[in-house]
Amino acid sequence: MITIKTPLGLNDGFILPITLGFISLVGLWGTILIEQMHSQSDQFAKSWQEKIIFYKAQEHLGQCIGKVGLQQTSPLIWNQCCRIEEISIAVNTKNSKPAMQKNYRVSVHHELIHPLSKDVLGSSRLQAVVTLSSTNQAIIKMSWREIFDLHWEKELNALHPKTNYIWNQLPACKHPLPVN
Amino acid sequence: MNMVELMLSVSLLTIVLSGLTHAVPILQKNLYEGRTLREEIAQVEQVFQIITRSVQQAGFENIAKNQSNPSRPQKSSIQAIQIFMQATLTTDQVGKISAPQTYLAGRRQTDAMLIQHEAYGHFDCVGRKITDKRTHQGLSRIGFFVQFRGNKSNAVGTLMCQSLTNKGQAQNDAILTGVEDFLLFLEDGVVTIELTMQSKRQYQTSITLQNQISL
Repeated sequence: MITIKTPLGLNDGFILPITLGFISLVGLWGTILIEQMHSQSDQFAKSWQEKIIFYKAQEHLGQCIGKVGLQQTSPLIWNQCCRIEEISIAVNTKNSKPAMQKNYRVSVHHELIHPLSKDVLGSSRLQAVVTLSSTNQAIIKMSWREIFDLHWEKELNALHPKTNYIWNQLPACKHPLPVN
Repeated sequence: MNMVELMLSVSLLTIVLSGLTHAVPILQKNLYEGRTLREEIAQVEQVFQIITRSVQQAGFENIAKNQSNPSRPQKSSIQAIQIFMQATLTTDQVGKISAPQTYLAGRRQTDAMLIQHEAYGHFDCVGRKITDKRTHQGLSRIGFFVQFRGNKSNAVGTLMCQSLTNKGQAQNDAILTGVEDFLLFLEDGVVTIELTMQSKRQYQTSITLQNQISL
């Protein structure tokens, strides 16, 4: 019987460790790839969630602005998460005949929540200042902005006594994340 | 292990490895292209969000603040958005524009946009607070334009976002690289942006102006 000498130690199991090592490398490569794809899809999802809640808030702000001037009390919380307040009465001195103008501040707060865990996935706070003509209640000026940082907002409101901080008094309208 | 087994295993291993060496680069190329496309879409999407937010804040006038401080002079209507065809924004002087680089002649060129509003709780493109110090004549200015670097044949375009420093000087931040064309149109209160990347993919978005300052 002829016996073969195996210098590479094939008898000691050469192919198996190589194959296992190769499979491990492929597995590692796959894991890194899947991890990267996960982070990308998370980024997409976050961007989509921010957009969806922003559009909801923007739509609601438009509806709230339509109610300006109709309310009897100030401030008024309308439709759960919309606050309408009269902030000042200004006199327009440009014309020879002074006209009274009314300013209103309209704020909305919306949150996107996870349908099961109820975690907040995104929020949008929008605020508009609307000037109405006293003669026909038409909007003659409108300025709108988005509030990102509540700490800074608090500081800014403290500097201007007539624009008090309202975000701790305004409940958020909660929207569960739409699922397919 | 006898000779036959050894030959057989070596042959099998050779077949498997040759298949893999052929398949892996193709697979890698496909995955790389897919990843590049997803990355590009994600980056463009993010940039469109930055521009959208800036455009929607254009012309913001702090009516409440102005009313609570009657001594403050009333500004005439703010020129909320200015679009400069085939131009870039310089840092020499606030709001100054310059003609595009000469070597771009003959191809589609890039536009620039300047957005102005009063600052009240706003942020610039990279998330820095816009304080009163970072304004010019009481107005915050955010500009978008493309800066090309490199020689004529392989110039790389970078979309820049211009804002003001604490000293009121213009400063640029790169927000997207690999831009070929950046075209802007303003019509009936709608800003349309056409962005072409070096991959030749084209992206487009339309943004409606939100603030009604001078009706």
